[in-house]
Amino acid sequence: MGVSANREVCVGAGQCVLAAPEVFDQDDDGLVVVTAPDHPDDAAVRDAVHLCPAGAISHA
Amino acid sequence: MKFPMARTCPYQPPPEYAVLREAGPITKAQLFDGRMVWVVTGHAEARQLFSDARLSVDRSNPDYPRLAHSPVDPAAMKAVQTFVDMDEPEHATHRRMVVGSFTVRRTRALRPAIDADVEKLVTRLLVLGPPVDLFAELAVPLSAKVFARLFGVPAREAGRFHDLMRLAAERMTSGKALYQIQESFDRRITELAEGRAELADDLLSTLVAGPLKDGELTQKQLLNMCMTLLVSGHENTFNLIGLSTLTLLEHSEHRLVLRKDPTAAVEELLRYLSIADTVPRLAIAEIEIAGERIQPGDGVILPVAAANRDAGAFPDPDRLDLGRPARHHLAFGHGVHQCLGQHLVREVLEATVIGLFGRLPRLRLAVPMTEIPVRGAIGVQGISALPVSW
Repeated sequence: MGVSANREVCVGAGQCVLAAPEVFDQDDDGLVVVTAPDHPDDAAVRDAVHLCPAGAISHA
Repeated sequence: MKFPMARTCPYQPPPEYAVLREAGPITKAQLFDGRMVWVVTGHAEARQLFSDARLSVDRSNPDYPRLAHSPVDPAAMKAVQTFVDMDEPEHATHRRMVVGSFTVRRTRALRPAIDADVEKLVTRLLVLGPPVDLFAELAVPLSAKVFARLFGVPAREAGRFHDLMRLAAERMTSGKALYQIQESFDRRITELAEGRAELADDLLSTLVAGPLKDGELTQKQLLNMCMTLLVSGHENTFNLIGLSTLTLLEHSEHRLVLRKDPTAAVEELLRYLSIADTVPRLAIAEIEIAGERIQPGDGVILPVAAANRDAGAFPDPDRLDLGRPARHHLAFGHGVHQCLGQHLVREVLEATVIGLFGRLPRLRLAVPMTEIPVRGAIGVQGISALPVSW
């Protein structure tokens, strides 16, 4: 439950980090890391979900 | 209707886009060789198609739609293919080799150096005195400095690299300058690989120390990848700087917004200018969209400048509004091929507009707008000279 990201499909575009820097980061390989999985489904997280070009992010 | 068409005003899409839009979010137009292709003007439809794996980016496929005559045999393109021309799963494997060098954190760390580059170039403008050509004296040399640092061009070769980047800017698709840059990169890769030069934090070092050493890339593939990144990066960077500056000069009432929220202003400039317009794709399976049926073998063109002026996605789309939320623009594309260098170009553009208009608040065009040379229909959009005074 909460915020999750699929690193298998992540292309390292970094949209999530721009949209919700308090929830997402990129590791040294450029792939998504969720730093606050319990973060509420707020506007920033919804932006990240919508803007991710690879559809790698979800909130459930 | 023939496609593509040239812009008449450099910061507005071709007037014919309005006619295409009238025909619906997806319609048909004719390429130079008579071939009919789908043209997508709707934002939602373009966004969806950008992330549809049934559209191929493989230019070496003979059915791939061409926007202009090319002397290169499509099959020969296979030999120089990089991730930008690859479909999945090959694309992801290759893109992942470089994506770590373009993260938000890595590019933000470059910002102080980019700010210093802008400051130096603006100081030089002041020394030269008005009128000066901002395209030649700021847009192109700034892009050259950024890419010299990204690729780790040694200080002793910086002068020559900058000269070559200036020549390359005059003729981006071919020519001696690009070949000479390629040769110098090839030498550098060999030096790094043989331990005759010290590995650092730059892109060439990263690719030599990783994929080349591990046998995931040949030296030829590594070189092709670097040249692809350099050519598209340079061309998009100097064109975006030049055209953004012109647009802000023509909309001087926006300067206050620019200072208040430069991050939002950058996104709106990216949307409004959409300089990497007319992205071609090839359908490799049937796709149903907006009541139309795209067949395998059909060409599909995604004119980003049309999608980014769709009133359904951006109210009053033809108005430049530097404060509007524009992050959902498609200027960098969408889907797995979305622009790798997007954060770098954001930093460069923001540094430029802040540094330039901060130092020269009375900057203005030195010639009538109608005398600014506009680029043609093919390739990255922009201008090739920008005479200014202050």
